[in-house]
Amino acid sequence: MSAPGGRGMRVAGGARMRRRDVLAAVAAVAAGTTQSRAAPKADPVIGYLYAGTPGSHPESEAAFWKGLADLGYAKGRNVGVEMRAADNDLRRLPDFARDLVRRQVRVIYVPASGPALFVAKAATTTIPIVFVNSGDPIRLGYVESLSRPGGNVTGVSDFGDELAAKRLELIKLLVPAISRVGILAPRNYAGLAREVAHAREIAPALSLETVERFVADLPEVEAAFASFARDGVDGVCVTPSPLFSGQRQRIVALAAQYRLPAIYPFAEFPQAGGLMSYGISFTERSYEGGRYTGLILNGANPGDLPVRRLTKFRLVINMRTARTLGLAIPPQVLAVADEVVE
Amino acid sequence: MIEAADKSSSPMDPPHRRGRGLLRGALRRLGWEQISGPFFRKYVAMFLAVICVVLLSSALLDIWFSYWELRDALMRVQRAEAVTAALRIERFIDSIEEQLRWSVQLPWSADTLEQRKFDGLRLMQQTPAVGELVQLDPSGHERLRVSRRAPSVVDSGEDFSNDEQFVAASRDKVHYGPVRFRYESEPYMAIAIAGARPDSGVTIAEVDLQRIWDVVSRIKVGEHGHAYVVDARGRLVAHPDIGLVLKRTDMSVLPQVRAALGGAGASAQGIADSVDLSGQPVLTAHAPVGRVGWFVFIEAPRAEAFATLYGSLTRSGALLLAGLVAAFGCGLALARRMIAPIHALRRSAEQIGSGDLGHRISIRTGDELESLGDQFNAMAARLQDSYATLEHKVEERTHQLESANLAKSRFLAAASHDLRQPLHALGLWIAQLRSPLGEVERARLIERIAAAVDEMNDLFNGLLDVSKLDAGILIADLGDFPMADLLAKTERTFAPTARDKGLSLRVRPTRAWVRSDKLLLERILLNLVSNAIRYTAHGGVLVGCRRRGDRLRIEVWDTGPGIPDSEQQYIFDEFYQIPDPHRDRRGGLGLGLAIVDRFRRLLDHPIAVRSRLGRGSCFSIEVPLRAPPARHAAPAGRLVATDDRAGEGIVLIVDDDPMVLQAMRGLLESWGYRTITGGSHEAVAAHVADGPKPDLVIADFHLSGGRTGIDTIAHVRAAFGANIPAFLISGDTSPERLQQARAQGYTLLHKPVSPMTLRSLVVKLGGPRPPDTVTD
Repeated sequence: MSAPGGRGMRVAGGARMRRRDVLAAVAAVAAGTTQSRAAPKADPVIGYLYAGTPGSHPESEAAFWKGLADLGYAKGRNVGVEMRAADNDLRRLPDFARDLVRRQVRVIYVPASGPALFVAKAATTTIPIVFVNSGDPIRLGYVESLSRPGGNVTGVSDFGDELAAKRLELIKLLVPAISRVGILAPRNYAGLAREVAHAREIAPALSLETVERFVADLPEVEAAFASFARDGVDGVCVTPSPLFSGQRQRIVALAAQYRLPAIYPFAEFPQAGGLMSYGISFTERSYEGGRYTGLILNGANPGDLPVRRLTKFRLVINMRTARTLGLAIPPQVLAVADEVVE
Repeated sequence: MIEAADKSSSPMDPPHRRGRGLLRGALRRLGWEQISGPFFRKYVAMFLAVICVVLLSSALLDIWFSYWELRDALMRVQRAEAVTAALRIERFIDSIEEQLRWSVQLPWSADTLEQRKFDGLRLMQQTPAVGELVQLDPSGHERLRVSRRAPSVVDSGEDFSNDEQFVAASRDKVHYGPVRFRYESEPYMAIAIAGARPDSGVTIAEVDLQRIWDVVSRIKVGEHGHAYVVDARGRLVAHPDIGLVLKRTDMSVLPQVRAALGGAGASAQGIADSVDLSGQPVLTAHAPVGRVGWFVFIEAPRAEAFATLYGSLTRSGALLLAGLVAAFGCGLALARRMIAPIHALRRSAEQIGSGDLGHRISIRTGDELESLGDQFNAMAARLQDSYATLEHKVEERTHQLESANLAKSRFLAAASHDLRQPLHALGLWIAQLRSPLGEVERARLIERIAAAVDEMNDLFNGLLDVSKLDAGILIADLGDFPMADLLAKTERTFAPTARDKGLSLRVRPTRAWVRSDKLLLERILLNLVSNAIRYTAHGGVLVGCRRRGDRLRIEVWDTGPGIPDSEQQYIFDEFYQIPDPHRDRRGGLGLGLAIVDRFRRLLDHPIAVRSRLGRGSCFSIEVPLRAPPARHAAPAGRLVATDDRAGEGIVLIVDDDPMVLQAMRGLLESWGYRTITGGSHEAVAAHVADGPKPDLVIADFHLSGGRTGIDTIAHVRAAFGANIPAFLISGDTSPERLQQARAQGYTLLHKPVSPMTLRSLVVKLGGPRPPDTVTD
C-alpha cells in the first residue's frame, strides 16, 4: 500500500482505469454481439447415442425424425446429427459420449438403453439428454421425479418392463395348452432381472413354470432357442430389449423354426411374423422421443419436461402365425385383442 | 400590436416570452395580427372547448361501452368454452359409467367368473381409460380383478366391505373417488358403481384421467389464457401446469373458485375480483361438471383480454389529439372569418366617428352581418344628410338672424330718422315760443307741438307694441262688446284728419256684437283707417261691416292708388312701404300694417286685402259674431276714460332724472295732488322715515345705485306696513322690464307717457278706491 496521497492517486487512477475497462468491455460485448449476429447461426446438432446395431431399427429412426419434423426440424435442413452406435459393445459407449459432449451437441438422444443413458449422464450434466425406454425411470435411477425430472435428463417411458407377468397370463389365455414358458431376457439389465423373477413367482398361479435364459447377442439368442426346444418349452416370452427388437426378424424366424408360440413386448413383432405381443409400439415411442427432442431444441428446459408415460398397451395377434402353428384361438380371446394381423 | 414589433423574440428571453413573440410573429405573417384580439381568442377557445368536450365525451362513452361489450363478449366466449369442456368431461365419465353399469349386471356364480373376466377384458379394451377393474360381491369381497398391467386375479376373496368406496357405492349407487396420482404423474380416479339389484355387488374401476388432462390442456384462450379443473373441495384436478396439480394446490383461495363452490351462478360473479394464483387480475368463466361435482374454470389475463380495449384507448387518444389540432385550426379559420366583418365595422365606425362621414363599409357575407353593414351605411348616410341639413339650417338661421339684425338696424335707423322729423319741428316751434307771439299764434303753435308729441308718442307706442309682441307677453283679453263702440271711436278719431285732407269718411253703423280683444281690435281698426287716409289723396274712406255666417267682416275701403298684386304679400312686412314716388312723405314708419298683422295673428282673425290699381283698396278683417245680450252691459275696460275727478292725496314720485322729476311734480300738483319727490332710493328712504304716508307711489324703473323702482316701492310699503298702490314708469321698453313689472303685479308705463294716460292711472290707483278695482 502506498502513501495516502499515492493511494488517493491510485484510486483516482483506478477509477479512471475502471471506467476505461468498462467502456472497453462494453465495446467488446457490442462488437461480439454484432459479430455473432453477423455470422450465421450454426444448425443445432443432435447426438444419437445408440447401444445397438446401427440401422437395426429403421422404423424407429424414421419415427424419431417424424417427431422432430412435427416440431419443424428436418435432418440436414436445419438440424444435424452425430450418430454413435456401439453395436452392442457397451465398452465403446463412454468414448462416444465424451466425444459428443466435446462436440457440444445440443441434445443427446439415447434410445432404449439404460447403460447408454448412464454413460451419457456421467458424461454431461449440462447438455440435455432425452431417453426412451421401457422401465420405471425412477426405479432405474434415470430421474428423480417423473413430473419434474430436474437436472438435464428427461424422456419417454412405457414401463413395459413390468408386463412380464401379464404377458404370461395372456399367452396362457391364447394357448391354454402351454405349461412351460421360456423367458428370454438381456443380460446385465437389472430392471428386467427383477421382472423376470416376479414372473417366475406368479407363474404357478397361472399353472405355468418358467425357464429363463439371459443372452447378450444373437448367437446366444439362437442358442437359447435351441435350449428351449430341448427343454420342452412350449411357449416363449420375450422381454423388451434393443437387442431383441433389433433382431426381431431372426427371433421370429427362430420361434417359427422351433414351432414355439411366443409373446413379444412390442407390436412390431407380430407385424414381423410373431404370434402375439402385449405392450406399446416402439415406433410410437420413438416418435414421442423425437417430439421431446424437438421440444428441447426449441428451448424447453429438460428439467421442466415431465417424463412422458405411454400407457396404451395393446394385445396384437398375428392370425397367420397362429394358423401356421395350428392354434385354435378361442373367439373370446380374439374379441379381447386390440389388433389382429394377417 | 405595436409593442409586438418592439418585443421581437430574442434568445435571451425566457421561454414563454419567446413563445409568445414567435406566435405574434406568425400571426403577423398571416396577416391576422389585427384580429387576434380578446374576442378572437375567446371564440377560438370556446370553439376548441366545445370540440374538445364533444370529442372527449364521445370517446369516453365509446370506450365505456366498448369495455362492457368486450367484457360481455369475452365472458360469453369463456363460458362457452368452459361449458364445452365440462360437457366433454362429463361425457367421458358418463361413457365409462355406462360400461361399468353394464358390467355389474351378471349374476354371481363360479362359472360366470370366467365370463366376467372376459367381459372385464373386453370392457377395458373398449374403454382405454380404465386401467383396472375390481368386482366385489354384495358382501364386499373381491371376486375379480382385471388389470392391464398385471395378470387378472380371480376370486381372491379380499375383504373390501369396509372400504369407503364399497360402502359409499352400495349406499349411493355410484361413488367417485378422489383424484390420485400414480408415479406422481398419472392422475387417476376410482369410480365405484353398484348394480341395480341388491345382489349385484359393486364394480370399482380405476379411471385414467389423462383424457381429461388432454381436454383441459388443449384449451387455450388468447395467448395466456388456460383452463383448469377443481374438485368439489376446491383442489386442483387438472391444470396445464402439472406441478400445481401434484402439489394438490387448493384453488379455493381464489375468490372466483370460492364463489363457484359456494353455488354462485355463472353469471353472477365477481368477475371483477377474479385473480389467478399469482394475484394478477383475470377474467374467469366456469361451468360445473355435473356428476363428480367438479368445476371447469377458464381463465384469461385481464390485460390481454382488454388489450384491444387499450389499443382502442390509445387510438381514441390519438384521434382526440388530432381532432383537437384540427379543431384548433378550424377554430382559427372560422373565428377569423367571423371576426373580419366585425373588425371592418369597428374600423369604419372609428373612421366615421373621426369625421369622415362619406366613408361606407362593404361587407359581403350574405347574412346578418351584411345587413348590419347596410344599416351602418344607411345610418352614416343619414348622419351625413342631417349634418348637411344642419349646416344648411345653421346657415339659414344665421342668415335669418343676420337679416333680423339687419332689419333691427334698419328699424333703428328708420326709427331715428322718423323721430328726427317731429323733434326737429319741435325744436323749431319751441324756439319760436321764446319770441313774443300773439295768442292765436301761440295757441296754434301749442297745438302743433302737441301734435308732434302725439306723433312721437305714436311712434314710441308702435315700438313698444313691437317689443311686447316679440316678448310674447301680449295676451288677448277676449270679451264680448258692441262693434258700434269701436266704429264710433274710429269716426271720432279720424273725422278731423279726413276733413283736413279733403277726404270723405263714412262709417256705417252696426248693431253687431263681436268677441275679441277690444283694445287690440281698436288698434287694428285705427291702423287700417289711418293707413287708408294716409295713402288716399282724393276720394274717401268707407268703413263698414258685413255679416258672413258666424263672423263679422269689417271692411275699410279707400279710393287710393291701389296696391299692385305683386306687392300685396309684402305689405304686411315690417317697414314695407309700397314704392311710390307720389306718396305722402308725412307718413310714418311702415310699422302700422306689421303691427296689424301681428295683432290679428294673436287674435286669430283672418285678414284680407283686395285692390285695383288706380281704383282703390279694401282691407278686411273677420271677427267672430256674438249674440247681443239682453241688457247692454257697460264695457269693461282696462283704462278708464279721462276722469275729471280730482284727486286728493299724497303722491310719492321717484325718478333719478331731475328734469322728469320736476315735470312730474309740476303736473301732479297742477292736478291738485301733494307730492313728495325723491331722486334716489336713499332719498325716498329718508323721506319715508319721517314723512307722511303717501297714497300713491310713482317710481321710475331704473334708479341710481343699481336699484329698481320695485325695490323702492317695496321699501315704502314695508316702511308703512301697507299695500300702498303704485306703478312704474320707464324709458326701457325691453320685454324683460315688462315681465319683471308684471311679475310683481305693477303696471309699467313707458316714457313718454301721455298726460292723459298718466292722469287716469293716477286717479284710478291713487284716489279713493272703488271696491272692485282691477289693478294691472
